[in-house]
Amino acid sequence: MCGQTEIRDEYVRRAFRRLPAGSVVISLALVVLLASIATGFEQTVRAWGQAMPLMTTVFVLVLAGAVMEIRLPSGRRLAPVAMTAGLSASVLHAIDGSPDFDVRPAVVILLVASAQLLALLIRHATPSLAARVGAGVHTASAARLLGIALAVWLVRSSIGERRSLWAWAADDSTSRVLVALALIGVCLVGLALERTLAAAARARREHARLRAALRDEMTEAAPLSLALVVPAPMAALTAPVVGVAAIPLSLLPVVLISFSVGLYVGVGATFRQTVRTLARLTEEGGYTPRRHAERVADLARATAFRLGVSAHDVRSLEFAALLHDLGQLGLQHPIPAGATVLAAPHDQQTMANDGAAIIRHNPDLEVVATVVEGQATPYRSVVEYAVEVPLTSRILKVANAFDDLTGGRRDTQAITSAIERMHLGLGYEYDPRVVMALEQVINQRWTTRR
Amino acid sequence: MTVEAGQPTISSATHVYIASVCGVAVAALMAAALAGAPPDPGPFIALAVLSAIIWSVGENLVESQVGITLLGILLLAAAVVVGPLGAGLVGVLVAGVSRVRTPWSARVFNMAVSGLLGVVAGVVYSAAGGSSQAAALRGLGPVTAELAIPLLVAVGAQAVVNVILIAGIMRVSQGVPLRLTASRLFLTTGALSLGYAVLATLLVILWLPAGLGAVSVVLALAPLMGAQWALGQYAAQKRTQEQSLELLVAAIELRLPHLVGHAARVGQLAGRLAEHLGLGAAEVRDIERAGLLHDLGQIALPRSGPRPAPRPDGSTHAGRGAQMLVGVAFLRGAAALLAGGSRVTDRPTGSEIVALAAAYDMAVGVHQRDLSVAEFCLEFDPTQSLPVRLTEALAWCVARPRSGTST
Repeated sequence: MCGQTEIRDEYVRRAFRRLPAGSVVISLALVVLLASIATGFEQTVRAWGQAMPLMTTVFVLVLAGAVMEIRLPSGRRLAPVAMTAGLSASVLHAIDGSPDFDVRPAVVILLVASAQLLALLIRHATPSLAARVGAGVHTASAARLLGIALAVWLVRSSIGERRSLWAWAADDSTSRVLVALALIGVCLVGLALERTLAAAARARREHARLRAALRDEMTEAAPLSLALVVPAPMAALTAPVVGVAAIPLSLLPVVLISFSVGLYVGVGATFRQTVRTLARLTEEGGYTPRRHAERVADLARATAFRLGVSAHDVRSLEFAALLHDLGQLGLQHPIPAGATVLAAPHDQQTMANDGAAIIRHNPDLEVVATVVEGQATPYRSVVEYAVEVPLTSRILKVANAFDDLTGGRRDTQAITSAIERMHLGLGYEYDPRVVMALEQVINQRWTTRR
Repeated sequence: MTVEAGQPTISSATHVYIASVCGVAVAALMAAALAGAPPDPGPFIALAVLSAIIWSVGENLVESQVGITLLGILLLAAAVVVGPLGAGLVGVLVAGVSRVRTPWSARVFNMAVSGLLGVVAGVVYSAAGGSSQAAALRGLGPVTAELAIPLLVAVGAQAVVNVILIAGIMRVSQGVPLRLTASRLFLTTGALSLGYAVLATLLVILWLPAGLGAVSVVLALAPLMGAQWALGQYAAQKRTQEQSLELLVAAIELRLPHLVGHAARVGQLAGRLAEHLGLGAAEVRDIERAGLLHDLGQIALPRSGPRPAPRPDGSTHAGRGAQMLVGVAFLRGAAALLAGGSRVTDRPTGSEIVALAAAYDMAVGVHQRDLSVAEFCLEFDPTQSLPVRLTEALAWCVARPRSGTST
């Protein structure tokens, strides 16, 4: 009997382990949505009749914000306008020229959910937008809804006989400064939940460590996240002066931010194109095989995520991997098949140094240059002589060696042979921890393909 | 918007220009003091302190040496909360305490410009029908008519004054054409100015009618920080992108060591030729980049042995370089120039400018030949098919090396 229980528990554990985190987030959002329909559908219909301008404004802003989602260079998805519009509806109370916005949490949740669902439909139906719908879009929408749901519940629910935060804020005798601080706190909690859920889903999708994903999610664009905490309270405080217009007015800074982020993302994408062009120089000159740099960058990225490297360092590693053979341009005669792993150690170091020297012409890429410089250092120097070599350099060394030894092939024979040869240098040439992570990446990809 | 520190040498014309701007700023402040009541000390001190904190956080450079700061929003809001004199004084104070290291002349110039912009905002706000009792405003209509629109007009006036002053100093100190600086400034800061007006309106509503007082600045700080962060990232990425050209050049020079320094000189000379010929800012930039990268295609040529025969389509190594740049959005213009193009008017094409600059530097810079411009032109263009304007521009640029003065 006991054995059966253990088997069942193990089965459940495995099932949960295999369940994508995104599915859990989407399921939670569906539960919240169904509960809101059950408890607030009628009041939502009434609210559309009584507060049509407000409901329409929020609906349109959430819809537009969700359609025009921003994707940061790290892959993180942000919909600042949709999020802040939803939070504004959560915290709004007195409105100039209209009755107070006194509704149940379910009304706001249904309003936001319906706008987001329509946004998803539009994105799927529009070819130019559908191309940008990736694996994380539905999860990001669900996480956003859950974050807003938590905020609206904190503001509009009362426990027992105690006044709700909404009633306290709507009281004219309450200090406006305290109201502002309390509403900021609520929005912060809502945003934190959204980011946590998004991080969990992303960690599972990219086989990254949850702690690293959470750290990236909270710190990568921290000023941007903090900026999104304020517009909703601003809307609540300015609505008694300018009415429903307070929402779009308070959200205009967010639009400005989105515009600026769009510029930043656009320039970032262009810079990546430039790095790829640089990576192709060695191919054009006949020094390295076609797409070698891209394959190394792809493997290095996946391995780094496995090892819990931060998104920022992973980006530097990707650039370093794309540019790691740049130093070969200084060679009088190309190495056969461009395989640096077959070159003499001294030549490897010279090429790494030459490549780093080129990269250092851009002072902003100092970290990338350091990674490239460290790729030729054998692991034993780290262990025996305490030479400081970044983990990202060790990852680059392993990923490059693997691609050199397989010659770009990904069949079982080539992979097995390359791994066996790398095992001969384990602990001496290559960091065992990195090789193990690379093997996990290869096994996972190979298993998936089979 | 401010001017960053550049090379240390400052011409006397620049000093005269700075003194004139200071004189205008002092006169504007004195006129504001005579025309209205002194600013309320409480809000004035709060605004000055908070502005100084924001100012000291740093500024985001949007385009090369011309920066844009968050001070504009506070100067606008100050125009309503503490009037023209208060706004002018806030501008002078915060520009004076900036932690950014600048020569004294640049700091004085920035103080004068900030002060002048504060006074301009206050005066234009009142003239455009802005309310002096903003705390009593209620309803969207009155707020729009008596606060938002006057602030929008004020920010427009600020933008015009700022562009004139900055373009003036760039012209006097570095010889950059007024039209070039003005178009760059309007392109890079136009949309942001509108955003500043909205943020200032929000700040004033929170400060006065909503009753948050000075705390509203702290509340408004978060979106500003977000915007500043995003703009900072944009500026940094833009700088990294521009510097990535240096990487391409370094890669070329590693492959072709005898050409060290050639690309940079060609880029500079081609850019100056384009500027002198009165081309637009975007064209000048593309020509500079094409000049820098004109040898990129040589990477694909064999290191030793005979050079391959020209291709049937007549493409050169520059054309091969253009192909390598396909897909790099910001180098699209430069790639098109490297690919070449035919001239349909007497106006020189960008490709001709780059080719002339490259050939001139190859003869004079790389091979160290002692050639006059006339001799070079005769050798380079024996049929005299190049536009006379282009060869004249080359003679002008060679005779006048770029001045080393800036503010």
